[in-house]
Amino acid sequence: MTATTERQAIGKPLPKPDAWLKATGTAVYAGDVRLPGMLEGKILRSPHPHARIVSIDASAAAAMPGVYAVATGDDVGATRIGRFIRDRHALARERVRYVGEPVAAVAAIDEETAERALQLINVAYDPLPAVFEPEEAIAPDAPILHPDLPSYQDSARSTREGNVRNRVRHDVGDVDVAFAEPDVVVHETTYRTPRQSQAFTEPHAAVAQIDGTGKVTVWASIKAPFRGRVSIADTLGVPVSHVRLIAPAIGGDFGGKGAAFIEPIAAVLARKARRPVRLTLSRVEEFSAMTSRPSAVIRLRMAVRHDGTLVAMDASMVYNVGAVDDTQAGTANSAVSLVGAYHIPNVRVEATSVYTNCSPAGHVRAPSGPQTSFATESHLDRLARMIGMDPLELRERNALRNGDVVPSGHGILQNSGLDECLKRARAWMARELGSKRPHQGIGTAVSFWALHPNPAAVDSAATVKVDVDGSVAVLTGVADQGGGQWSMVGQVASEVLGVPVEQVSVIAADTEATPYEQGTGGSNTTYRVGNVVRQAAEEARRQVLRLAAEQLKVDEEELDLRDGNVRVRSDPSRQLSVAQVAQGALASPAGAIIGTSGEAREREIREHGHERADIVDAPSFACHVAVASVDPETGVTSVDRYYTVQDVGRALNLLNCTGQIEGGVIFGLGYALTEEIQSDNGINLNANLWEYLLPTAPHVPELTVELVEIPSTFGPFGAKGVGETPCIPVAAAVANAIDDALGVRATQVPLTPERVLAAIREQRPELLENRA
Amino acid sequence: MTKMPISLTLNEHATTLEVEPYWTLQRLLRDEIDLTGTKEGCRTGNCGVCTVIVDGAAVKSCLMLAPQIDGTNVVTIEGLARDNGLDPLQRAFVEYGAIQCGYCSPGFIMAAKAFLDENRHPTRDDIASALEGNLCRCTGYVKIFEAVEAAAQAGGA
Ligand code: FES
Ligand code: FES
Repeated sequence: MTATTERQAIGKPLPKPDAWLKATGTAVYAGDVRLPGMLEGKILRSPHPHARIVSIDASAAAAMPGVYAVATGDDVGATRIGRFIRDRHALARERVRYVGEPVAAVAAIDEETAERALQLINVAYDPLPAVFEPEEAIAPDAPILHPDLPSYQDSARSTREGNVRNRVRHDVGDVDVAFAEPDVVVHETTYRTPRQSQAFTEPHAAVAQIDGTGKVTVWASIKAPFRGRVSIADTLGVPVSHVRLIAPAIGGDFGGKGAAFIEPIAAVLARKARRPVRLTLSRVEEFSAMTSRPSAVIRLRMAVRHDGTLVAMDASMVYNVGAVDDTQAGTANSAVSLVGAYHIPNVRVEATSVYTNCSPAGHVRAPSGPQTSFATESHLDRLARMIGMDPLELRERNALRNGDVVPSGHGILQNSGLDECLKRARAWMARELGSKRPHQGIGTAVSFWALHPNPAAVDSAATVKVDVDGSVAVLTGVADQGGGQWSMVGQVASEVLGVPVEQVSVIAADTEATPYEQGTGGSNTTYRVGNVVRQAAEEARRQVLRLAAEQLKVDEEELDLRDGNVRVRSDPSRQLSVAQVAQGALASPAGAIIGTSGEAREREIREHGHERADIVDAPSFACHVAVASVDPETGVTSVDRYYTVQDVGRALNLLNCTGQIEGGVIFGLGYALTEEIQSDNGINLNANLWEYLLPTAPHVPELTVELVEIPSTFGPFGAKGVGETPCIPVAAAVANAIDDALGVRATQVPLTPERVLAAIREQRPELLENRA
Repeated sequence: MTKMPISLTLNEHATTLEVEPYWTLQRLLRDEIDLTGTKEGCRTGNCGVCTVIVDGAAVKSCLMLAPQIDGTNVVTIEGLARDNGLDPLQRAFVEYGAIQCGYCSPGFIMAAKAFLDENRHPTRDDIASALEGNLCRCTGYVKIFEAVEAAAQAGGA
């Protein structure tokens, strides 16, 4: 393919094939699966934040007409489950650790019967002392949530002790010497960030079916079916091959559908009832008992020289990961992401995550990004103000450059689009922003996502088949939670094979029928899955060209493959359709055309003289600008305009790229202004959609999205991750705009009217005194 | 409890059903007659994924009881496409990228349909306030506005 060749599919604003199903109400989500004899499941949850289960008497419930199964902790295997650390059972055994922990479950003929049966289950609890704040939890006499914690299995090395889930230190240079430099300006503040719910519109759902041989099939809203099946198998005490997990359409994930919670319970019920069981969660259960972004307290001290050179960062972060931690390494590995997109020679960060008797922590879009970004990007603005420098200039001066070692230790930065993003943001501001209205301010913030693009293991595979009618089928384990992964897969195969995208079907996310895939997320799916699909398609393409060359009696190099046809370049009248080639293949010793790929990318990276862990090949940078107005009398902040420029490497699908970014910004705006799970003694108080406030249509500011395309070397067609980056810096950009408007710094997210007003009262009381 | 007979026009078909008095319209549609295009997100009227059209007005089917639709004309997402193809709104939602996970889409399309039937030339602010009761966590709403604007134009042509 030459650079001038018109593309088959890449880079076009293509509608997603599954969107047609979704627009007509015919897409099937897990909760839409209907099977003959299907029962309804319900979960009985703990009313206590911490208690010993003395006994469970479920006899009355089990005897109720219409009840087919009652399950308790006795029905689940002793093996603990969990996404990263195995710290729970699908149904509690011996002890409950948070309000809402599943204790028992019922399968009945309908929902009402199941609800009534739950009420007949008698659980005797012996309440234990509980802790809700990390400070209490690490006190010497605190009740310990997980006495066996040191023996738990974790996916990565972690430092665990008492209620400390993990503690990570990141040390570079000599911080003490740097702070003692004679000419530096030092600033210290403590930042606080809330628990945020993923708040996808589709609550979790699972339908489990068991066949006569004991094999279980589960349809579930889970974006990582190969991971989820392990939890189901461990809970049932069967090999993973006895579990088939299928992820149909998923109604949003944002990190919250990456691990099995209800799926093993549905499977246990189906096995006991010997009938299919559907389990769907209520919105209250979603908010009160499922995972959320862990809250954080971040104490941050930084030093800058008068010329704008950052010299030191000293920080401690504490995360509250609740009673069950579904985050990677307890989020404490985010110590490094506090350094952000900058080169800082002296750094000392300690991050601690702590178990408490609150509802579980888990991943939420850009895990740890918004917390650390709020602290660092807020702090940079204050430092800039203190030395009288333009905030964007301070960032420019200290920005990571190609060739720098990224603070995360993930290797050497290459293909950075940061400079370009900063330049474009500056140009937009100069062009678009005139004089400010009273009480209006402009805030900027930079976003950097590079934690995951280079995972440390081979994690994906694909198979590409060319059918006798010229159509193509791609088998991939990847789930599509709304991010457009399936259409990306189809586009990549279409592009490589020169077959119209409408003729590519994607068979996906079925642990029995499709190849292994670690799970969607971390903005690395396009990079990872796109690559293996590309390689599998290239293998199929080579077969097509070889067979066509034989039939047309020309060299393979002579051939052009596009629009479903193989043509001889010098004489386009000599051609074969891909269908003819595929038919010919079946009649030849070559057999069916099938391309596969597993570790081809590893080879490719090594051939370029790299180890995967040495380079940050697809760093995702963005620069955000918020224009916000603050009413100094009420503290109400409204965002008037919002601008973001993001480097996407290569926009495989323009509509998808801008859609991800727009959605990410509004997600971030919710975090910045309204979203916060509030709790009292471990009970989540605003566990509903009228008190947990999400952005709605009228909240959308005038939003401008620009793309920069600095290609990655190894991503498919140069693509980089897109989805996490846009939600990360929004809270900081808004806080910086508030500061610019009124000269007050609000240090706690969400930036509610109460908090902004408190900041005004404390920092600029004259603004209130002046009022009429 | 004893079931009640109701008759209605459902997606242009005269229909007679037996319903429990406590069933919501949502429960009736999704779980009793398997019209699963109408979604469920909260059951409290706060997300809009269950929106259908009853006698020309967008309603949240989780807030309406099944017996209340006796004698009405109900349109769900399954009934929106006509013989000659998809409704312009459905087409626009697909073509403008207003659909990501799609769980909110049927509700948005039905809410927008009822709105556009009454408002031929809406401004973006009109659209935003008409859709205030529908949540979308994926798109940030921008492409939904664009889709509704495009459908309004297509409809007015
Ligand atoms: S389910 Fe009806 S509004 Fe949410
Ligand atoms: S597209 Fe996912 S909620 Fe709207």
